[in-house]
Amino acid sequence: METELAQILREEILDHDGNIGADTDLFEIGLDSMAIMQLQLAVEERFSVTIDPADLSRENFQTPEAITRLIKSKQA
Amino acid sequence: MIPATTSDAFLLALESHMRRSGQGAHLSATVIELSGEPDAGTLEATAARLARRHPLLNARLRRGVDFIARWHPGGPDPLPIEIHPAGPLEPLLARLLENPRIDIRAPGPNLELHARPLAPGRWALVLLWPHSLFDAIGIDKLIADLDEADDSPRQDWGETTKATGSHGDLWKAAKPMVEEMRSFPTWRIRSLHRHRHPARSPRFEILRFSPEETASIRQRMASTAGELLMLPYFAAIAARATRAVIGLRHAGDEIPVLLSLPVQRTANPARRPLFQNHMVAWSLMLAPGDFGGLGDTTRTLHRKYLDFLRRKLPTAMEALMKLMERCPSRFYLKPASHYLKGEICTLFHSHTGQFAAASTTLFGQSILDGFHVPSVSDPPGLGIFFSERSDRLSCTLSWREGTLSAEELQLLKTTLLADLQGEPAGGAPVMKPASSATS
Repeated sequence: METELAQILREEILDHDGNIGADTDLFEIGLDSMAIMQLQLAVEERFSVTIDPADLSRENFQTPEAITRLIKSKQA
Repeated sequence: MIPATTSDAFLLALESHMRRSGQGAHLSATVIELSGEPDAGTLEATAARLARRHPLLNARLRRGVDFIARWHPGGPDPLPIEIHPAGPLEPLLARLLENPRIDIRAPGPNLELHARPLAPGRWALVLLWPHSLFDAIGIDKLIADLDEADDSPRQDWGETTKATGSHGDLWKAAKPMVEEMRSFPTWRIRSLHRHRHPARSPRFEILRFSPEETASIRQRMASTAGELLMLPYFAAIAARATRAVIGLRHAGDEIPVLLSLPVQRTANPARRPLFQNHMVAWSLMLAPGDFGGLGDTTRTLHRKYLDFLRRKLPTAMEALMKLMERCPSRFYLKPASHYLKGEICTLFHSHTGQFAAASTTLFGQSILDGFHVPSVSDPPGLGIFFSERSDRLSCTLSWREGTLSAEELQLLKTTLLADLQGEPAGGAPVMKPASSATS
């Protein structure tokens, strides 16, 4: 899931050249308010979960690992 | 010759509308506050180097026989520079926006450089530029380029739209956006435009917030709407303030707000050229029932952003802009204006994020602050624009003389500040921003 997330972020959302690892700080590589919305939509569509506005915190979106945790908690 | 981007063509149509209705050119001023004092020699060398390096800084824009607009580069003529006597910034900005030397239709400069000492050890560099040639990200890149030593010519332009194909393909792709636009007249869209009143001079006010005030505004955003909802939060604030003014003017009416929001096509600024416009306009409608408290309005607007994305309306809008690129400027806005009974939208709004994020110094001097002052067309007659620099939020209110009365301007600011800073207990007036000055 983390690898798929990293690919979505690199190719579809951030247009980023470098490697995106599980612990990459996404805010440092350009995750802004618009990118958050694109990511929310991509996550909802790819992983069949619903992200509530209350889930949109810096803690939940800091790294691919944190986003994976959020998705898994929604799928549980 | 360099083809205009589809976004340039939209801006050209807006400028054409402004010129035909006596509003002059569509320009923006960018203010960069620097430490130290201005140096005439440095500015002259910079202006000469920029002119040699970027042929579009002396280009004119015109449509060809195929109706496609193209930039026609000019020679490396020096760009205008002026060092003004020390004094306040706002009167200078007002004068520059009203009496520019820039005319995109004629050969000549597309950038003016002005310097004004503000206080001992602090001065402002003002860049005056036409909106058809640059957008805010392009100006950020230009600011970084001001400090480059290299003066070899660069071809820093080009189209970024992904919309291609036959007219049939483009129409099919654009149709969802056309259908969306056809739904707007369900509500009577109003702006601050006064019908039968000629548009007059550009006016603006800059609200500047200290780092402490900015931190408090961010904290309020986090507690009201969530720390990551910056775009819908500030758009909701702009919409609510504008709606309050229209509500005062049309008491008892239901007041929807149609936001026109420029969104960059390219997420990574390094992947786009310095010159030309690379934005897609997102049109998001807030119906009267969508307005509640600020948090509710933000969450509703957030859902509308997501819905716009989910329905692939940005792609549809790009296709529509590609279809429209050959449309003569005077007809370009007619369909929207027809459906919206003479309006285009309720207001223009953007939050461009960090101002010149890649630059900390310029000419060896520290960048202390920075913000943009765009002029706006009437209709809609109002723009509310935010940006941040060095943990300081700036808000530029831009309107046309006559679109806002003194009472309405006061209501606009009071509503904005109440949303940004909160209503203290007991209904006391909200804290005034660190500085505020009107043109």
